[in-house]
Parts: sequence; C-alpha cells; structure tokens
Amino acid sequence: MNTATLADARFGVGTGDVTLPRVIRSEWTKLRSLRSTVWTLGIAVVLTIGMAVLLSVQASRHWSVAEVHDGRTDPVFQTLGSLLLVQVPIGVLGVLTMTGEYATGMIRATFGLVPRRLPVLWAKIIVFAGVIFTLTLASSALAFFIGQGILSGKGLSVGLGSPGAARAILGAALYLTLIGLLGLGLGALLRHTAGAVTALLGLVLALPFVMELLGQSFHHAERYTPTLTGEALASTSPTSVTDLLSPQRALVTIVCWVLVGLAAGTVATIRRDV
Amino acid sequence: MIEVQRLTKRYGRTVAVDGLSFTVQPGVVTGFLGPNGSGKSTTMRMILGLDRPTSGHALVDGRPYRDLRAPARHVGALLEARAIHTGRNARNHLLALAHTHGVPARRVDEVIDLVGLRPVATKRAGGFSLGMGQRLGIASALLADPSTLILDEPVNGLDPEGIRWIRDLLRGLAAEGRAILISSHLMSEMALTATHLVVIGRGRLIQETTVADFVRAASGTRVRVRSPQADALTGLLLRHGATVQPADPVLSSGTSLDALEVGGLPAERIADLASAAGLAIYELTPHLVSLEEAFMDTTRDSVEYAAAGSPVPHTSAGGAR
Repeated sequence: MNTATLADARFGVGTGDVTLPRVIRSEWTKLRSLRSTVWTLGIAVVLTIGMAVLLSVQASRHWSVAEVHDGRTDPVFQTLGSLLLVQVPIGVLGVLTMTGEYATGMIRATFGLVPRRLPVLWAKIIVFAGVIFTLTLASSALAFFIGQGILSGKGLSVGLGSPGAARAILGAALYLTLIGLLGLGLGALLRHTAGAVTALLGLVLALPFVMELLGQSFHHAERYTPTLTGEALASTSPTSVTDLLSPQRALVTIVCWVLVGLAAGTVATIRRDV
Repeated sequence: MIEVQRLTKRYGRTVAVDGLSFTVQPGVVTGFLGPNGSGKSTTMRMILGLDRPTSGHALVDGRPYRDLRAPARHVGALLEARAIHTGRNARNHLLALAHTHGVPARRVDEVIDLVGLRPVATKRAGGFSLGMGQRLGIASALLADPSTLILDEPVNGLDPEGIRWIRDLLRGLAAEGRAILISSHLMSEMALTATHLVVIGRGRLIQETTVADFVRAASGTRVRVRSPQADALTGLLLRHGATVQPADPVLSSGTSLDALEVGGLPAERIADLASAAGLAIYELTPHLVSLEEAFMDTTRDSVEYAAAGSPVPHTSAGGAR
C-alpha cells in the first residue's frame, strides 16, 4: 500500500519522502549552524598545532639523534601526542550532538519528522564522523609537518615516508573521530550532557589512571583502555619500547569500544520514549 | 485525520492514558480539553510516535505515524514552545527541519513570513520570547503543508493580537479541509476557536462532542422569558408541565416587566405555546453556561491537581513533561 494514496493530495505540496540523504542534509545544517561547533573545532585545531609546536621545541632541546635512531624516543608521536588532550573537546562535541537536542526538546521535533529514528542516528554519525575526520586529518598532518620542521633543526626529524609516519597521522585522525563517536553513543544512551561527559571522561582519562593505581596485575589490561589505543595508533616506536598494542590491534580495540557505545546508544534511541 | 483507538499508557503502576478512543475529523478544529495531568500531552506524543503506547493504537490518515514515509506531510505538530537549540537562529532551525522532507528554502521563508518572524529570522533563538517561540513552533508545524495539525497550547505566551491571529489562522486552515487538534487552558479561547471537543479526565474519555452540545448539555434546559403578560404565561406554562420561577424584573423604558425563569420546556415550545395563546413575548433566552463552567462541571471528579480545600479521591503521577 502506498502512503501517497492515503495522503490527501491537496496538501503536502512540494514535499518528498524522508530519505537518509535528506536527513544527512538536515543534520549537516544543524551542525554547521551552531557557533559552539565552530568554536569547539577551532579550539581542537589550535590545541593540535600548539601542542605539536611546544612538544617539538621541548624535544629539540633534550633529545639526541641516537635516541631517535634506537626508537627510544618517537618524533612522530611527539608531534601528534596532542590527541591525548584534543580528544576531550572532540568527545564532548560528540556528546553534545545528541544531548543538545534532548536538553532543548528539539529531539521531539527531530523524531517527529523522522519517526523511525535510526536514520537520524546514522545521519548524525555520518556527518559528525565526516567533519571530524576531515578536520583532524588536516590538523594532524599540519601538526606533523610543523613539528618535524622544528625537530629538523637538530636533525631529529623524520619524513612522511619514514615507516609508520603516515599511518600515525591517519591513526590520530581515526582515533579522534572514534572518540567523538564514543561520545555521541554515550550522549544517545544517557541523554544528559553532564552524565555523558562524565562517563566519557571516566573512560578516556580516569580509566588508565585507575588501572595504574591497581598495580602490576592490571598492567596488561591498561593497554586496552581507549586512551592507550590512541597512543598506540599515533606512535611509531616499537611496541617492545612503548609496551602498547600494535596499531592494528589498537584499532580493533578502540573500534570495539566505540561499537559497544554506539550499540547501547542505538538501543536507547529506538526503544525509549522521548 | 486522526483515529485514536483504545490507547493506553502506563508508567509503572500509574495509568496516564486509559483506553482512550476518539477521532479528529478533517475540516474542523477539535479542542482537546482536560485538567492538568489528564493525559493530553501523553496522548499527543503517542499519536506522533514519540511515546510507545502500552496498548491500543493511534492512526494518522489510516496508518501508524511511524509507518508514514513523509510524516510531516500528514501531521504538523507543536508540542512545546522554544523546543529549539538556543544557539541556532530561527531560519537555520526551520531549514534543518525542512531538509528532512526535501522542503525547499523558499517554503521556509514563506512560513517565516506567515508567522511574522521575518525581522528576527537570523537572530539566535536563545533570545526569543515565549510568544516568538510559539510562532516559530507554528511555522515548523506548517512547513510541509500538512493535512492535520496537532498543537499543544498554541496560544500560550501570545499577546491578544497573536491570539486573534492564530484563531483566524486555525479556522482558515480547517476551512481548507485540514484536521486540527488543539489543547488549551484558555476556555474562552477554545470556545471561539474550536467547534468539536474531546474532553478527557484521568486519561479517560469523558465526552466527544461539539462545543455547542457540550455547553447545552451542561446548561440544562432553563430559559429566561420576559412578557408583559407574565401571569397568564405562567399559568399556561405550568399547565404544560414546566417549572416557572420569577426572575429579576427588568426595567425597560420605565415599565416594569416580569421576567420568568422557565425549566422543563425548550425555548421553541414556549414560543409556540405563547403564540397560540396570543401572549406577547419580549425576550426568550436559553440559559447557557460558558464553556469554562461546562468544563469545570464535567471534569470536577477527574481533576488531578487540586488546590487545598478541594480534596480529590486519589492522585497519580503524570503531568506535563
């Protein structure tokens, strides 16, 4: 049975069915029309570049060429390490993508227009991931090149062609995007900004500390916390030195974290009243 | 068109909506009345697929709302004013909503003009007054030119000019053949705007009727009659089984006339009897209570939140969310 046959043909002139591309366009309009989005992303870029400059200047004063050669220090991670900090604004922006709508009641307008709800979640994921990945890839690459420029003065730099360097830049962008999506999933699950941000910070900041405090027996497990997978993805030192997961395993691990978060958020989005 | 069939919503042990059935017809404005916490908003959210009914269902143009492929073409809704991100401007807000149904930007500007928000369309919505928020909500409800409108307290926060504007707008939209369901606490406003009524209390249907019938039923059949031959008329009406009481005498051009309050006979019958007996009648007014009085009278037993001094049998959760 076709809906069009049931609808009164006199009304609804100039409208079409709800489709995923249309919902994506809607979500893109929502994201770009908030000044807070622009500000948050601006802060993320400034942090990424600024930290790379600071850490590179620091390293150029203290590192020796031999250390870099042995893999005991990592000029690549030195320029990308800002992700440990940048993950906070990106993750919070992911949270706000969902909770901003619940806080204002806008979610009822949104789900009223797209009552199946899932297209809204997909559209938010696609738009958010697209924007964040593009931006963090560009800012990570910029941070890498600026940082290596500073390190090159002391002969400590590596090029984009050196083993793992390009992968680390890509890994940093992927990691930040995934953390943003984890925030989005937590926002969809918890619906309240404060609760979801707390949960997110607990996972990315507090969890590694807690495991550290618990001592040696948890040392192995610590590598599986989100933040340390981010480190693994953006590092080029051998895992024997860093004691982190390999980049491949780190990627699988962080993807699992994010999938669990998004799955929980999806179930809550579909099933709960709004 | 909306058909609500045995709709029920339970939150734990409390029943917010209890086996509610009614129909919202195209071409008329249907008022949705009920005391606070009687389940009006919950019912509206269930019609729109926002809340899942415990049992029963609501159909929009013959289908569950969630199954509609272009829901905004069928129903435009205003559930709460200022349900908009405070950092976004009105035009972008409407654009984002419009994109979901492929509604062109031209139509967005059209509804902005229609509700009179053009001067503030590119200002952040955080600074909007309640009345501006209502206008924005009405604009979003009208975006996709829907055949049905569901408006929860649409005149809330509007100034008299705005109230008049929305009354005319809704009547006009109904005259075009749209089905319109509005809730309001302003009974006088409801009496002016709506022609049909769905009255609920404690989540149950009390009456589904027209405003005229609702008021007439609550008013009883008392008629005020004024005649220069009041005594003769009184005898005549008493013989036909009416009850007659003197009403306050009214002075008209210096002459005292007796006014009677007649019960048990409709105004038409009184006029016919007087005419046949050759008695003059100067005034014949069926006594009507206001919609507000009728509403208070009808829902007295189902008021959820009563002030101290008027105790209610028991209370249950609910209320606006």
